Amino acid sequence: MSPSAAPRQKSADPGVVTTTLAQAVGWARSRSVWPALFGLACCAIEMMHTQTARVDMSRFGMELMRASPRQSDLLIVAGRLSVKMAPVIRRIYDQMPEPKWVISMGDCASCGGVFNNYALVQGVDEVLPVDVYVPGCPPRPEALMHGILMLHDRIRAERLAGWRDRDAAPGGEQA
Amino acid sequence: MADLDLLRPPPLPGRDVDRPAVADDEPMVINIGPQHPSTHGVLRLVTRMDGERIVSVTPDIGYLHTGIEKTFESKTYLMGTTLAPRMSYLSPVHNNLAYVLAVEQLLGVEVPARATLARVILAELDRVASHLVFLGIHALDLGATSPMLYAFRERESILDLMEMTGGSRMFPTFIRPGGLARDLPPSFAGAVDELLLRLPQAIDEYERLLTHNPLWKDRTVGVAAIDAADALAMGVTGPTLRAAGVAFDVRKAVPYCGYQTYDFDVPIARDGDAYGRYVVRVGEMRQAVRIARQALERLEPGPFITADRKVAPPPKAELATSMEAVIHHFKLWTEGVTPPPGEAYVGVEAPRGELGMYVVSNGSGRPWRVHMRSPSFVNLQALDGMVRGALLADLVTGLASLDPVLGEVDR
Amino acid sequence: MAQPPAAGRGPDGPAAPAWEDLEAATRLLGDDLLASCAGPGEPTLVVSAVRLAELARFLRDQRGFQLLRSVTAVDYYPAEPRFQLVAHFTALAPALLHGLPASPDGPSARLLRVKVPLPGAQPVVDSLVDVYPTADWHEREVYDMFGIEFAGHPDLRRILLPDGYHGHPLRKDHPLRYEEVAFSHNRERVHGSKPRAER
Repeated sequence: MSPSAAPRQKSADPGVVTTTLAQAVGWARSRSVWPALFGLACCAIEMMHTQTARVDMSRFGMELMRASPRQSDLLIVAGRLSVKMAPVIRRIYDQMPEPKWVISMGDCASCGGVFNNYALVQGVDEVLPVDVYVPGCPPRPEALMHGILMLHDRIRAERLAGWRDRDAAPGGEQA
Repeated sequence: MADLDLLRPPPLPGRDVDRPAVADDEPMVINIGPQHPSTHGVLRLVTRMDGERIVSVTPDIGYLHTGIEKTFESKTYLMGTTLAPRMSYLSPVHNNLAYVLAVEQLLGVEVPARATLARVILAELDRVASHLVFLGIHALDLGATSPMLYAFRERESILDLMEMTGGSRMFPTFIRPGGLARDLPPSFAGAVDELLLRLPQAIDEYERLLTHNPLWKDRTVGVAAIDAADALAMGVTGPTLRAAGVAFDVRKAVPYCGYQTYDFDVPIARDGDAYGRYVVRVGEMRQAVRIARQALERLEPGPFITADRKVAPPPKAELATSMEAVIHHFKLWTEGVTPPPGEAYVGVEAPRGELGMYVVSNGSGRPWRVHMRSPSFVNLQALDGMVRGALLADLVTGLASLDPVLGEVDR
Repeated sequence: MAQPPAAGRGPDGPAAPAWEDLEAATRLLGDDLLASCAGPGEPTLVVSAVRLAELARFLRDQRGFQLLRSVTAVDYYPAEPRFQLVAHFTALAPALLHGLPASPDGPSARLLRVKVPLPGAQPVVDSLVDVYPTADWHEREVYDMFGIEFAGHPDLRRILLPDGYHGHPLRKDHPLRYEEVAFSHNRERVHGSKPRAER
């Protein structure tokens, strides 16, 4: 962001960039999204592969996976959501402070996947609002990375105006 | 858990546990999970503590129950090969292999030699890949963050090989009833050869980091120990049982896929503690490389699937010329294979223990019942006895050294 | 070893001397042994429910079956007896227990399957927990999935499904609860009838 030349004596270039608040906030938010550790099943292994050396999420500021939802921005639902786990995930989501986003990783999280039966929630969007769906069984690490970068673009483009109404989630911090 | 009596730990049926006496007049109940970094998946551990000492641990499972066994009953046998690897997702080839071997036993079909050799190579690579995850995650749970990055580097190479065979990194589903899905690609043998040259040096690197590391030994020696009698009573199999001194390996005891013709050792340890399990698994990685090398040397060109057209689809070229081939193709892709009524249990030595598939057929194209004897489900039951009287940090060590996969615990 | 491997035909492991185990069981159980089969595949005994615990104790103490691999069940609805409880046992050679490699001549593990027919109306059978402590979770799973009760089990409650769940999923009369797949022609109907979280 700062000019590459050495500080000049002339006053015309004091080393400041002008922008709008929304752009600055969007830039900051998208560059340091902290995922919450929420690996459920097989997709969690591919999520681990996205973190390790070959694909390396930390290039995009996302290496720090917080165990506590209260310190994280992004919930990557990696794996199949069973009926017994559904209230737990809703509670985890409610414990995350705003702004927060959800990536539904894999087929099971997006639509129930191969398992169309009594035991699984057919898509986590029955329980959580999802921002990006990443298909695959499991999605390749590159596919997850593509989904994450797509989310980064959306975060960068988010408007700040009206945040009070938008982020007032019903039943949010009561969990 | 509404009816759990919190003040009285449940008795371990039929066993005496010789642990230091802990005063349990007011145990504190800590709930670990189901969302927790160290629980290897969605596992809930209800832990009763007396200060820093564990009084008892009750695992609460079912948070990943997928109803796979019921889903098997509504799919054909070939569709079932897709469901099986997703149970124990860290050893997908072994799930695939056990299921297909059971179906082949019901069908009574012979598998060509090339297919059997390929199955052995893939199974041993799968074992190495699974133990690499064990290594990385176990170290990460104990606070050592580097081994995971090194271990996953080799795992990426193995997953590239899997992708070369079946198209998917984790679930290639390359093993089908009768043989393989298609022939091994021409570059496969060379790639496996190159990997098998690299792996022993990589294993040496992991050992340099951990095996004689005083911190590692402090955290794992003598921790979460189980002796042979208790392990057998609890049905424990796999590296956990071998670390307790029992040399039971399904590949040697009840061989499948020609394992009796390979030259390999079964590493065991004596103390049954977490360090012993680590040593056993590292030894198994080396033996897996040895077996895969032998299988690779025996690989020769030949058919990759049985010629029985009631089991294996005919090659595409034949469909243009033979009416019978078209009929077989049609029946196989609509109704699927139809084994005669009967039942079969096949156990394979998965990286976690004995993985068994019990398949019951009623003569139709869909199985009547498929049950998976999952090693993690059984091994997890032994966790309570292993960590009573230990510190809370040892619970993490104990769980990581058991190496459970919640997908196969809950199915 | 220069021999080429045998083409796989299922597990090529030995199952003998199964006839010794089957003979011993026949002598013990008499008429309560409903059927026995030495192969192909695993040797199988079909036993009436009242003698199961006694047979298990006999297998562990007299025949050396130290390992209970699994306890599961099969539902043959609408045929009667509706359920078959299936237990798999493994006997390890003594050398293995001392950490020695088994001798290459004889089998180092013997396998056995025991089946118990149970009526559909009120399926109750004795728990094996006193003989094989590992049976604890297996029996809880069979109860959870099939509704078969185990007398003498210390803590028989659901293990995989939520506590308040009604029904036993692996029974044949329990539906799969398959959700209709949404295509473009039925998309509105399917998505209109399932919940969707907005915030």
